[in-house]
Amino acid sequence: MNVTDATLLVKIEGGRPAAFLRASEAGIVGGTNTEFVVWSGGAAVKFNTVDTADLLPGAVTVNGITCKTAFQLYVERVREKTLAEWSAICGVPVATIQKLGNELAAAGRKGCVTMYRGSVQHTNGTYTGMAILSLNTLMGNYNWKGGLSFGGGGWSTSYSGAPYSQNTVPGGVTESGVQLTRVKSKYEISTEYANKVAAGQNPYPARRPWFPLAGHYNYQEIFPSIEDEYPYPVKALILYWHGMPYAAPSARATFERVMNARVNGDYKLPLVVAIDIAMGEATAWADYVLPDTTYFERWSVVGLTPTTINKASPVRQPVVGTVNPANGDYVGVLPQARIMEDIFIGLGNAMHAIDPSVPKPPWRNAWDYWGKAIANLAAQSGGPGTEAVLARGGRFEDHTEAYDGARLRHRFGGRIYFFSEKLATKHHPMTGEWFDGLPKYEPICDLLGRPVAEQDQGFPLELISYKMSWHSQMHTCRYPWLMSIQAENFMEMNPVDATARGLRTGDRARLVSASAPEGVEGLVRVTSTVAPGVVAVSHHFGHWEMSSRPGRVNGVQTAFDASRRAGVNANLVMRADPVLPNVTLQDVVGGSSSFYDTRVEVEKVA
Amino acid sequence: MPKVGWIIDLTKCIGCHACYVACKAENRTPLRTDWRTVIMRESGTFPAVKREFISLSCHHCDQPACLKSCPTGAITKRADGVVLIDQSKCNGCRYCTFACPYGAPRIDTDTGKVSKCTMCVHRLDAGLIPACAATCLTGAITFVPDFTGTTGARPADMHDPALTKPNIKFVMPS
Repeated sequence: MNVTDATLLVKIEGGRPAAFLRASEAGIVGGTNTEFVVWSGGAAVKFNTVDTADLLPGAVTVNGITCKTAFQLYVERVREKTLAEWSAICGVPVATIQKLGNELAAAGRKGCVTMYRGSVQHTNGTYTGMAILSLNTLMGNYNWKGGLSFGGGGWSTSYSGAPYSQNTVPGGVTESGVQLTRVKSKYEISTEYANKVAAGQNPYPARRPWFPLAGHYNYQEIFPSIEDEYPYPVKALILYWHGMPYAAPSARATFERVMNARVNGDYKLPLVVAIDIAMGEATAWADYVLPDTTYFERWSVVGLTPTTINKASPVRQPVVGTVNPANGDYVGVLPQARIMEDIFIGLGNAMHAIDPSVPKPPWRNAWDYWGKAIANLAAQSGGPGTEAVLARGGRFEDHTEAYDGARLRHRFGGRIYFFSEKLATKHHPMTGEWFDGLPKYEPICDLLGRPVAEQDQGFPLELISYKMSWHSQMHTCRYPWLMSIQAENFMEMNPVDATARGLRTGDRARLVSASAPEGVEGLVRVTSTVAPGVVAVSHHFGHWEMSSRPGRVNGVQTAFDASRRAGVNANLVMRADPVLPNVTLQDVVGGSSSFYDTRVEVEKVA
Repeated sequence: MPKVGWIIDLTKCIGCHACYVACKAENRTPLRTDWRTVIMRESGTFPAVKREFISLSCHHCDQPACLKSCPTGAITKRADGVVLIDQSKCNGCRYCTFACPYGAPRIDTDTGKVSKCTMCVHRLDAGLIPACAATCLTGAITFVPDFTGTTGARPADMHDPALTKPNIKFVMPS
């Protein structure tokens, strides 16, 4: 069983749940500021001194501080609206919600609610994700067979006592400072904030959002931040497999402005180097393009998602090209293409030759790095060794190891929270309001917390994108066999909406939004698989580069395939933020782009 | 001698087209000459809407209409039931493309002749199963080396199996 925060007391400050009460604040003798507090037997006690504590004691006062349990706060949040009101927001009938609730409850620990992009890549995605996960907490299904899995994980390529330390670079630099996209940094540590406070100004909003809690790189902020030189200008950019103007919502115009922008006659971004397998939408603008190898031509250790409940470390290795058995030098199918690691090692050696103070890379080639990484995972915990791992394409736990009776063998061991103190103790960087530590519903908002729907009157349809089962993201447009299954994509609409607009399958139409009035033009497909009020566009088509048009190398026209350009890309229509129009709508807590919050109209093209 | 056939499980097919791509990769057919295809169709009204995926190639019929229609003797049926078109004898008249009730014979866009699913005879003869069945992620395509019985339940609108006695069965959704 996992521990939750359900009975832990949370301080109510200024009418909001602010943080967990600590034993030191509760006036408990010997209490420290790391010990949580519960309400038991009509008194506040340290959480680890009692077997039972009150779940729903209402508001209690401890040492003059008003507190509620995390579960009390959760229940109050849920009951802020009636079931009918929640139903009206989500469009799912009350009876359906009740039926699903009953089914879930009947399933016990074998029931599970999961999520992927569709439910959480919205401006309110973090709070929605917290709400979804809380259902699992109520079910108590964490780490149980059929319940929520944290994944089996894999073996490590780097650990204490490993045979090799391939990640160590003698004399190498380490990263420091604030990232360009301001992930993992608080606005309140910035000079901008300090200056505004010193000048007696309201420090909010920040010029651009900061993302103290975003764990992943918030891709969509890279080029807008370069454009705004915020928090600093950028002089060089190395892109690897990077297709942002195609792959991120509402990104193309900003990207192309940045590529063309000049400051005092010089380019604002003077140097762009791309390592890519194709002349992609970003790569086509690079000053230097270094041809990459395909996934058939390189080594890597592939991480698995939590859907794999066994421990596994898949290993990729070249299956074409030639590996020199003596030293691991690899030559791919195309003579100029190089594995990324070989490119970086080559650059490092060249820099060292010019300036000996630059440390020489400690690896001979990509295999020198990956061979050691693979040897480490192959040796960990009495492993089978590199040869066996390469022969099997990785190291895999036996499938019978997945379960321990009714429970998963690989478990999450930490506390599970209804209330996120991490969240409740951070400010929204634009509005200055505290974030909410509890799951909540909020409408789709811009960066100043203003609902977008009210600003998008006249665009009655919702735009979603999805992936077809035979394509992946943006690169598969280069595979003629896949493109021959379906030559282009469609704006897919329910018959109700199509009829209202006089549209039939095969009609040409324009998809427009408030921030993209010029829109994109493509074909309509009428289908009942799309809900009324929704336009669905698959995300693989609608390229404008990818060698879909001729280029020139040394004055010679290059080969091209116009079929790669077919179809529409919904990202070009997705909503720019009304507050900062050079970036898409985004989740300012988790840092994700919003992919599903654009309201659109579909207009027939005569 | 046992005869070959297919079992196509419509409850397992997810419409991923891996079989289609496996066929292209194995047989290197021209871009628009598709020996295996996946029919995708839908029925109903939102939210009670269903999608149907049906992966089809040649059924290697007991009484192949294509064979009967061929004026050049290019189409033959092997002892194990595999129906083949000899490309050196095909004159591209396309009679078989009209005769087959299932659309299996395909115009070869490179040669102007007609070709179709060979059930990967080169693989069968090497002790392997056809590329589509070997590739199918969900087990929706089963190659049967000793097919018995008749088609039975079949997708809506499929022609009457009595016409050619195809060696294919379907597992239909209940």
